Amino acid sequence: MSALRRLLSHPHGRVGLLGALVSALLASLGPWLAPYAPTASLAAPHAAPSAAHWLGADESGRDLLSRVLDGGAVVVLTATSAALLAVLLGVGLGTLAGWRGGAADRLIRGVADTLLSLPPLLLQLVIIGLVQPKGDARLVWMVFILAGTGWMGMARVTRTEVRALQRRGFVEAARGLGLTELQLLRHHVLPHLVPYALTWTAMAASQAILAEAALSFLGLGVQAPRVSWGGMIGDWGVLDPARELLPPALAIVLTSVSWALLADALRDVLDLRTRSAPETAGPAR
Amino acid sequence: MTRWLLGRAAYAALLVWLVATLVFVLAEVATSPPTTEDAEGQEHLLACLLHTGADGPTLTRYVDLLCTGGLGAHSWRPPDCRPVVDLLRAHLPPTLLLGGLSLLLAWPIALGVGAWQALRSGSRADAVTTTVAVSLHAVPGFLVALGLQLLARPLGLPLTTTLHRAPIELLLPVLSLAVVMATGWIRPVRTAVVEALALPHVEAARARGLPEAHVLRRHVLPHALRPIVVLIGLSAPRFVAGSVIIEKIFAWPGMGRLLAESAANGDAPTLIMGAVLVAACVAAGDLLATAAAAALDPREVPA
Repeated sequence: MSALRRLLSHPHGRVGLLGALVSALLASLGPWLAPYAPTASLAAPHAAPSAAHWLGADESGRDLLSRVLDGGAVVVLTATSAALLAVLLGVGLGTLAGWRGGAADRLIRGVADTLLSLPPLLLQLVIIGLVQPKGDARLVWMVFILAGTGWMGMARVTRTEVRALQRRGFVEAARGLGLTELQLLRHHVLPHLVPYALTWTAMAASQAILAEAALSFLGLGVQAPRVSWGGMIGDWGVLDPARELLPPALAIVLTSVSWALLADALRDVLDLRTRSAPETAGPAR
Repeated sequence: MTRWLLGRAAYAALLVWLVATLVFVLAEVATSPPTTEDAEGQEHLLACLLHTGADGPTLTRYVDLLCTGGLGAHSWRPPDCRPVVDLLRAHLPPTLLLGGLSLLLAWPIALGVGAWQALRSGSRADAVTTTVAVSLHAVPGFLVALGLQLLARPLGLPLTTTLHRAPIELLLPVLSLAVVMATGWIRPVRTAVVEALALPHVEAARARGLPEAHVLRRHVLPHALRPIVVLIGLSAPRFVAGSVIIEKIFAWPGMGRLLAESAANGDAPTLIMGAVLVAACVAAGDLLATAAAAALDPREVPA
């Protein structure tokens, strides 16, 4: 409880938590809150905001508010699933590398360093281009691809922490008492990783939202009839009114920044700043 | 030193090989052979397959990929039976032009703003410009470019590029890419200069009464340069991502747009070539940064 109170008294924590909660709420309720079907042409093309269409309509006369709300559900759901999966992957592989050491450690570190050195957008683009998933299978693939290009930071942190824990007195004492390796991991190592996992989930969600937006903007992410913010921006033409660009653009930036602020506050509140490795990429010297 | 550099070069080669192999395997597993609807198109495709040997044994094509980096005789684009090497020849120069001009613009911006902030660190001007740079850095590249387009719209500037490629058309794409790259560099530059300013020998130089400009040029800059040079070498990934997005927005006929289009069409040979090329650029950038850092500071080289 005290951690939550400290989070709420952190300036970034309040804003970030609010934004993350609102985005999660929209993700679950957005499609029901939307006043119209997101793909129905109901208004005049490029209709100005009015009582019937609060944000106006796009070039096909589709209600912008409905599209932003409906797209939010897809974006936030994809990004948070990808973030959770990325953190699970990172914890799993990082624990394996840190606990076992040896060949497993070298292999996992090699793969992580390789993936970290390449531009994530290129990896995502090439995988989507080669696999060409159709329909809603593409959403599942997006989650896998975003998670597959986002687990390395968590794995690094986990590995460092697990290696440090391995040598701590209480772990050696528990080992001396005859606990099995699995029991040691479950009761004495994994609980220490929870603060890192929470922080990295928020950070990974923030990055996944931006990555999803970039892919959908390029026309490679979420496909019609599903709506996504990046796709809405991709559909916007340079001579269209700017007010049609603003809702999806603001939605992307606000959501991603809220998750990033939440991650920042969590790191402060859970006292990870001094311990955790920096998240910046770069090969080990 | 030489041995150490050779080791780094071997690591770079390993990276490229790994990427080539992974992409090749993925393409073999995931993509189906190209087909078209009409009979004439199918005949054309078959003739093309025979002509280029692109349906040859997997091992032959894998060796071909490793020897030529995806530019060999077996690499061709299905719809128009065009060799991938032709596509590279057509699309690489525009990207190099765009990237080169953006770098020329981004570096002075990042260096100037970062150093300017460092000299005023802790002041209100520093706080304001840092906030602006960090916020811009958090905004996705496509929004930066679209924002610049919106700003340029009332000025009557060309908003996208055309086939004529008038120099003025390059203004917005170059500016967008430069902003996208520079915003990521300003903070590290500022940190590097702040750290260099706090070093004892800088204080000593000031205490000896040397003019401030001389202190900056001879005592601060050389120290701040090392992390900055490493930063340039490691910025290849950011440049690739930026150019994919910005070439699409401004219809610039470069590698980034080629890759995005190939991904949309499922054009495997072009994607493989692109992945290998980017991996090679990343590896080369890393290698150059390491070598430059070692040249600037011999302590970088492990004994």
